[in-house]
Amino acid sequence: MSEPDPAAPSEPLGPERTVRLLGAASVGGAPVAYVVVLGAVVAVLSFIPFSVALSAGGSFPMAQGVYPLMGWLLGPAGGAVASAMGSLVGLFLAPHTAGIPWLTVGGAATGALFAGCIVARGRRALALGAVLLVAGETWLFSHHATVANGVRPGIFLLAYLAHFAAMVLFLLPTRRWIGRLIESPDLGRVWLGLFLGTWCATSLMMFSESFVSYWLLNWPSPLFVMFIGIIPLEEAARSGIGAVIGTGVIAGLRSIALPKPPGARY
Amino acid sequence: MPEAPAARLESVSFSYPLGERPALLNVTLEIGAGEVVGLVGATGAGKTTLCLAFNGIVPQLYGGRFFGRAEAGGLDTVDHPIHELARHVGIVLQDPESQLVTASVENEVAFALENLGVPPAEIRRRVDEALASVELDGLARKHPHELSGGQQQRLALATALAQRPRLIVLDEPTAQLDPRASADVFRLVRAISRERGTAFVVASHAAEELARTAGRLAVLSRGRLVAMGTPEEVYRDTALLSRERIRPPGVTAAFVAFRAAGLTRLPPPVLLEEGLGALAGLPPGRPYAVPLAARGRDAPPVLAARHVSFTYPDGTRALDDVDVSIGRGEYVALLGPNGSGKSTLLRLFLHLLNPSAGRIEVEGRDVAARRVTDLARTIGYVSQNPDRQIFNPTVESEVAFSLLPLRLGPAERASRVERALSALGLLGLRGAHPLALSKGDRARVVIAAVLVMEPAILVFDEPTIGQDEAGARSILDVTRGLHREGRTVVVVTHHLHLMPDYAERVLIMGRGRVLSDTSLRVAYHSTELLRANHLEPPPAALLARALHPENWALTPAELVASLEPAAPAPSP
Repeated sequence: MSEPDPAAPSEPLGPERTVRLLGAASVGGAPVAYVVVLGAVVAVLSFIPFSVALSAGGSFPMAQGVYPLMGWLLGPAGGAVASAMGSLVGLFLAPHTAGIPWLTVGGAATGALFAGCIVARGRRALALGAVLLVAGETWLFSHHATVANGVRPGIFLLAYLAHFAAMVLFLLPTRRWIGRLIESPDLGRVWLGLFLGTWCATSLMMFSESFVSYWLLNWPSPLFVMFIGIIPLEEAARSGIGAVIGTGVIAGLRSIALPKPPGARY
Repeated sequence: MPEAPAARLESVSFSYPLGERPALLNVTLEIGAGEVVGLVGATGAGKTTLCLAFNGIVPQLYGGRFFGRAEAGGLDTVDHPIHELARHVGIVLQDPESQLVTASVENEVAFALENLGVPPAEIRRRVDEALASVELDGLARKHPHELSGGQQQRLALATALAQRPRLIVLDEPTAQLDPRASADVFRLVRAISRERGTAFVVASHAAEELARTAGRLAVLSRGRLVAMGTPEEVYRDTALLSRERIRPPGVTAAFVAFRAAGLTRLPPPVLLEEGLGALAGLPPGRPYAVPLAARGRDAPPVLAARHVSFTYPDGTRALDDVDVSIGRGEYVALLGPNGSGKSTLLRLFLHLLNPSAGRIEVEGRDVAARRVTDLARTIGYVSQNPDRQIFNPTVESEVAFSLLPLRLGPAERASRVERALSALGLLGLRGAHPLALSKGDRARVVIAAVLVMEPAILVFDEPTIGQDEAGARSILDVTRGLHREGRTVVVVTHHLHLMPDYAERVLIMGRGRVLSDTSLRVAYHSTELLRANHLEPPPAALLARALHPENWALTPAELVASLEPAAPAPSP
């Protein structure tokens, strides 16, 4: 029998190798297995109606709080696919939580894409694209509501104040600051980063969805008054969901040292 | 020309991204064609990491730092994608459910072949062949989740076999199986290796089965390969086993004790039949110990099933007129094969199920009138897989979570958490994430989370699965401590060899009935009953019976005593 060598070295003897994942199916660098698993999480959370969202004419699913999380866990592309895939499955399993189906799926993808821009460094082009998109939507939405349909500008501003606040956070260096919070080793700071980041990403997502919905449905003006109270509450709920679930997931992922996709930021 | 090795590792070292020390350090190992190599070592020695290194999952999927060179089927595992390596190396994990993904047995076997682009006719042929090899032909249309644990493990093996790899890696393949199903898996490994020339690497704590199956054993310790030899060489090296906390086969342990007592000079055998044959060279045996009924029968019952039957909605009759009671302060081992009704009985006590007939009582009250949340304060339940009970980010918060419904004051809450952490030796890990701990420590976290509620009754479902000898005993030591505090302890287990130092009373279940309710000593010597119910009697009991029909010894030390003519017979 071969016996232990008492003088065995305590350092590796062989040459160090370059480690990389070869030839595995991935979306934006995120292994397909990760995308599928997190898509399944989104689908499951789509079962849970969380509040009455008047803008969409139904209840919103709990999954809306984790679309941005997909962007931080998988990167913008992988996160968008996971969110869209999960919400698409959710449409069939829990249609009561979906308003306009194609808009729900598209919104899920953009939620993760917006979150993918809220990072400590890089992704300038993606962020610029997001800014241009939201700026265009803001102009068209406000013009359609106030000029074409006669909604008072002050009411429109107050109704979407929570979303405009998120746009400001997104435009200023706070976007980078929130990204740094999410990458912090301190879970308290991670929680705060996820809360603010989810606020930003889901606000931009909901503003985009509202713009398209309004273009299609033209809600009556009095509804905007009701939004003044409802939208901040809903955004707070989404942000709370994202922060609570996200902090637990990130703490777990960090602890078990599961390899991160290249686009992940946590 | 000699056949190329199935796999070769040369000075392989690997560190996980957050690892404080290398998980593997300078491992050099060659797996020959058709060879069966056992990987043994304490929990955390690096067995699973080494298993994953054979097909490139380590390092490709985990990242981290990798040194040296690993080859499988002649392909470098760092430079070739995992799907390419999968043609040469199949892997079967500890929990077969985690790798079963399709809706029928035949689709499961076909899935990997479809991904490899094998032509349909060839897939059909290989599916039939693989299912026949693992004796699952006839179950091809079943859903994998309708199979028993042993059948699922064999199905996972069939999926690997169908790809016709040169090497199949089995990581703790029988940890969740009863002894009969476990023996079946090892029998298949021997047959496939012999008939097809497939090489196997088997990481396992099942010493008896490895001794019978492996040609060589590799001993790992803190990531290093510290010894390599035949099962005889490794299991006879008592210093090595003691240092590396490795359990030898029961028969080897008995003969090591005989040698130490000067009763024989024979090298310790590693197979039971060899041990039984070698008994002729020992002094004659004599009657030893008198079996007694278990204590505690007169204590007031705290758990009782009164003529209980239970049938699942699909028509499976899990319990059939079970009438049993467990007294306050008893320590009871609940034995039986997979599917014998053990878990169903536990779920009925916890009021997670309602009996189809009969009545379940906890502390004298019908559970039908009690809520599950109330019962949780009386009965602490530690499930088979601790990971299913863990969801908080730190050990301390995990333990404290159980107290939320009790609405205790902050001081009482903190005090209870402190006591539970201290009792389980977790004070130093209170800030750690539970999922970052070893399986043994995770099991302790779950026990602490149950203990913090200070339940009078504790139920452990297979608490020693996947643990090495030291880890299993440390968990059972905790159960013994709780028992000594006056709590009632029920342990479901297949690991009979561990229980003599702990349990007093044994219930043997089979086909939904209680087949035996007696003291541990009598139960362990009921060899026919145990075997009829897929349980392997402890080798010490078999050796004792072969020495003398009235020899009720249960441990190597008792066997030695039973051979010494001058020794006084201790009370059991």
